[in-house]
Amino acid sequence: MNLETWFLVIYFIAMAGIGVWTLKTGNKGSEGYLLGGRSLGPAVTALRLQSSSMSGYMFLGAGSLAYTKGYFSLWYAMGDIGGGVLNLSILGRRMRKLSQILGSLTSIEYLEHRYPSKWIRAIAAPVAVFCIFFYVMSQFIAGGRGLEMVTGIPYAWALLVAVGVIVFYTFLGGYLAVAYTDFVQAIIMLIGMVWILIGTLQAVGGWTAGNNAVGEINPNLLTLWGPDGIGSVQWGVIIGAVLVFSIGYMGWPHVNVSHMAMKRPSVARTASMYATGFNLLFIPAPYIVGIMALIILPNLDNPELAVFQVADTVLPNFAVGIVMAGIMAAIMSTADALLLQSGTIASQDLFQRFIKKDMSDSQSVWVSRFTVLILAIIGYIVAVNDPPAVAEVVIFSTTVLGAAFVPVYVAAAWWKKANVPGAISSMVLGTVSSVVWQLTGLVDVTGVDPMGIGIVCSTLALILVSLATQKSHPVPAHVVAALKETDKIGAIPGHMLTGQNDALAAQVPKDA
Amino acid sequence: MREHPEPDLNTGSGSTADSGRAAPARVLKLAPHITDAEAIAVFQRKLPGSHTEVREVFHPFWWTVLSARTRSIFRRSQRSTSDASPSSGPLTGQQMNVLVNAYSGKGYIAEFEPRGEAAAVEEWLEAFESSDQAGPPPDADDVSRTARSLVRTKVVKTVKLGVGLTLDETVAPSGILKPNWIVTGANEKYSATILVDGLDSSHYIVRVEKRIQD
Repeated sequence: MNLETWFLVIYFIAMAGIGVWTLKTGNKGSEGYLLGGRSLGPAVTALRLQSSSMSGYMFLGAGSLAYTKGYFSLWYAMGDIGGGVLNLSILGRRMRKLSQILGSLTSIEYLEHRYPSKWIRAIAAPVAVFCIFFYVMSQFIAGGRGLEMVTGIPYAWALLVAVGVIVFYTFLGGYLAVAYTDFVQAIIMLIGMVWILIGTLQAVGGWTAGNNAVGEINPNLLTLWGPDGIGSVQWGVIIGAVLVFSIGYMGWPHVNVSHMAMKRPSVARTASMYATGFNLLFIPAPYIVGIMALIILPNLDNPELAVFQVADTVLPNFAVGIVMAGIMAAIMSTADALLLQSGTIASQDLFQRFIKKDMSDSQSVWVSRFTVLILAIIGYIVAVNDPPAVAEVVIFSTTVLGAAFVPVYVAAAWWKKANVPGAISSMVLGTVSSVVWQLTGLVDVTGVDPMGIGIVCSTLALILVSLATQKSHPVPAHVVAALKETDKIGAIPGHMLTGQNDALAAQVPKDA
Repeated sequence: MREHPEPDLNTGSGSTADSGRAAPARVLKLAPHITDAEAIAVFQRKLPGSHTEVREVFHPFWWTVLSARTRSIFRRSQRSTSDASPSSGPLTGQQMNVLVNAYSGKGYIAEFEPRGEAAAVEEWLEAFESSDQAGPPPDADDVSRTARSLVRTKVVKTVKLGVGLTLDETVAPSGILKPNWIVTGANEKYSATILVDGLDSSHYIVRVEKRIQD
């Protein structure tokens, strides 16, 4: 076994050890075990969120895009860097306050409370699980590819190990395993990525020398217009590229649920600063490494392995092991969060809501477990037989989630006239249009990204259908009252809002 | 102030008031941890130099206690059958106090055990009627369901799926009157009304208006 593999094995054992140790601690019923995490500060909160949001995409997909399209790929990076802050700014405070007033526990439940109809949950939950499945599958592929390269074992076995480790990790847990391993994983990811970047820039003789060398291959790679130059630019695709990761985040149920879990708005503000700092340090790195890989490894068979292969070339063996641990950290923390989320949606939003209302707590957890296992098995079968590109899968699932959910989430918090028929038609049309646009190849024919077309369709459907059905399906009075309460944020001077507890909005007496 | 009575597991959790509104069988009135002077100080930190008026208000909550026990799914529960009976002695799981807003149905896991004086159910209903919140209020069954869902979500989120989970309702839903302070006042620039939490002094701005300058 080579040195890199040893590092990976030690990393897996360390993570599993923390989980097993916390399980034992939990069985002793120690104080604070179940309720851990309440006292987490903004740094841990922010980096947990980032390590769960970033993923194998950053190590495979981003490098691949940069390797094939040069600096054009930075359109995606721009959306990635700004997405978190945009999400917090547009949805953060309002969604937190409204969900408090409406009494929602999950992001799907929040939609059902804002648009009171069982059809909202019946449509939103399967779409969410469907997209999450694709996203998780991309993490499986990324993990399998990484292990294959480092250990040299065949892809099918590497994939099996990766899926096994991820599922095993999903079944472990405890205070430390959840809160602080995510934090540690974010640090490892950052160190690993920056280490590769520094090694890469040293290998190509610095950024300027590297850019000059890339320019000699194809000067268009140094521009933001792609390898074929500005004449071939498809503006619809560029707009879509920025939209995917900037506003696409707002459609992710597992990201939006974090708004509802904020302890205080002041923590959110500080956390967003940490998150932005992390993003600025971390996100550009894989894109730059991917571009410089054109010089270091000009004949790569699989561009998805650009970052892996560059790391293997420019770093010493022990460093490759640490970097691989960072990559697996990104994959595991994301896949684990998404699998848990899909398990929760299946058990609470679908099974308990529509099939077995009197389901016991134990049955509910078992439904989650079976969901995770079934998704893992299907994901393995698909990924081992005909593995699609990681970037394609991530962009596809983010596109569908964005097209289906961004307008309904934004309108839920900002537009009092958004009603049930509008929300249903928006989710259905957004999903169908983006999926059809992608699968029928209309992207190449029209030059318009499915994210753009999906968002336009779902937004128009929401506005037009809501306006047309205001009389037959008015927004319930208690929802309008809650939205009016949410509106009050804007007029209040900033200094008075500092440290405000929005949860108290639901305790205001009539004569106050 | 005295401690609330020991929970009676056999007590009915709620009843229906004459108005048809779901009402708890027992009500506990919490004493504020924050004095009126401290509430005024919170207000004056926001609006320095302001003149204020303060009054105490109560918000109706439901309260229930759940015991959450976890064990490895690879190992059978170590409790014997007789131990499993709720009446056989104290449960070993972690006790979680859950407060559910009587209007919104939103649940909170409280970091404290509610203590206070027993109060009349009518007082709870009166507080209920005085609130400006809208929406279908939860009944005792909704409260139990919300509390279970909240605790289960919390536990699964932290211990993930590798443990067996048992939730027991150790205290049936009863009523809580939570104290808050309404502080109204103005300085030369603004007039405002702020709700100050009677337990932790956090605040919520009910309204604020800019005063017209001469």
